[in-house]
Amino acid sequence: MSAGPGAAAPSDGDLVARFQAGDEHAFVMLMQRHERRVYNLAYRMLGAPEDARDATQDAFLSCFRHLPSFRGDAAFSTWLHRIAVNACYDMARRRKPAASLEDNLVQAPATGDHADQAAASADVQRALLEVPPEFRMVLILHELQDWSVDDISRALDVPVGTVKSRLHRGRVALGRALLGEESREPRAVPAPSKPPNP
Amino acid sequence: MTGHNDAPMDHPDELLAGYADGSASPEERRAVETHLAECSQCRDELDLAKTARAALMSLPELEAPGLAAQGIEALRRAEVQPAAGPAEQQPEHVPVGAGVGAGDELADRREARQRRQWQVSWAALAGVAAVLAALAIVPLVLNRGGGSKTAGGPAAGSAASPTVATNYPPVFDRSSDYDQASIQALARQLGQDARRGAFERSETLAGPPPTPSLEGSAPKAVAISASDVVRCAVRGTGLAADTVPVYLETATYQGTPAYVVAVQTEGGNRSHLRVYVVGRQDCNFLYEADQPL
Repeated sequence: MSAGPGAAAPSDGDLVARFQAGDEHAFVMLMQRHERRVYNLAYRMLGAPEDARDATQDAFLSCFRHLPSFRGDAAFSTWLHRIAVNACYDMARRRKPAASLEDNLVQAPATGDHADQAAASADVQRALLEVPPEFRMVLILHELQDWSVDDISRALDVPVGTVKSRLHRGRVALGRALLGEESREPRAVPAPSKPPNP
Repeated sequence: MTGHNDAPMDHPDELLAGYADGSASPEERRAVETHLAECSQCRDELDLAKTARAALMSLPELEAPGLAAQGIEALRRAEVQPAAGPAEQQPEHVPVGAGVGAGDELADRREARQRRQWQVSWAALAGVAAVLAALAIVPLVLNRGGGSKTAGGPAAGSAASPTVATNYPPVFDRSSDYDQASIQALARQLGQDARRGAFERSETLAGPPPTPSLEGSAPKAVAISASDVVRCAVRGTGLAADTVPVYLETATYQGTPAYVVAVQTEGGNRSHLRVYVVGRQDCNFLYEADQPL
């Protein structure tokens, strides 16, 4: 099951097995391996660094608590991302209405970009937040995290066709938001393009 | 709907996704190009999709916040933070029949929420409290456009819990175990009801709600809070919090305890009847079926 001494880095499955056998450091290694991607997912989904950090922590906390009963039916990363997706949705529901697009612009974390590039990134992020959440999630997973449609289908437990449809609708919604067009989704939007906050 | 012709046209959204990013097969590309030749709307959308892809590719990958570097102990500290905090967001009912794990899951969510509330800066606490107060009254004031599409008949008042919003339909239990095909069939059935205006006429609201003609026992309203079901659907699907469904059911989906939530939506020049399925225990999105009206 586990890699031998001196072998390549242990797989996620190896680390999960080690954690389930009582080696808590294995969980830290899993966090190190996946934290950046989970955080990027959360930031792109939520648009605010603090919310993204909290959602990331929530995701790993939930993962930590439930990993002992994880059976490995899905890949660990798929399972973790499902948890992270839920953490993002939970956070989106709870965050302050005042954490609006303007706030997100000034909250954009430093990335070392030049000012113009940072401003352009903030514009894209702002437009991304106008995309309905279920489409935004698929967009982020596919375009930014390089997940295949099949992997997204498994992670979100949504049919492949639905993933593809959401991907297209999400791209169109983002394109419209970038061009400043009023969001109009004649075919597939079940909800207004705003976070599901009251 | 290309063209503003009389006959509606099906747009190949699924194929357009692969066409835009180059993952479509040659056959799929040919099908898309045939469609594009006569559909200006899809041509426009393809341009928008390309714009969006280019923009997303420009986004940088951000550094991790360093949670792993803080180690397990930081997670443990977060986990054992006292559960005291600002007033609870709202009473969270454990759905009847939700299984042993549901309460644990909800408790987990509450605990995580409370923990975060203590982690925010003190300066932000006043704002957080205000938001929580607003959230707490959401179930009491849910009302979209006068609730003309709702189906909250007598059954809601008599069978559901007192917290059910008056404009929510009752929650039914037909002992159904759905799969994709039967959810699609349900969407078709509810779509027929919607086309008849069944969700808009007040006399229908007062009468029996729509009863899909699927196999299974006769529907009966059960004492599950419709607000809880809607909240779960909102959480799992990203639907707007003020969504007022036209049909609610507690069931199983491929053996998993689930809620079935149907929503009639208006979008552009076409209405849709969408049926969403979310897990009863974790509110995870499980499936959706779309029935254009």
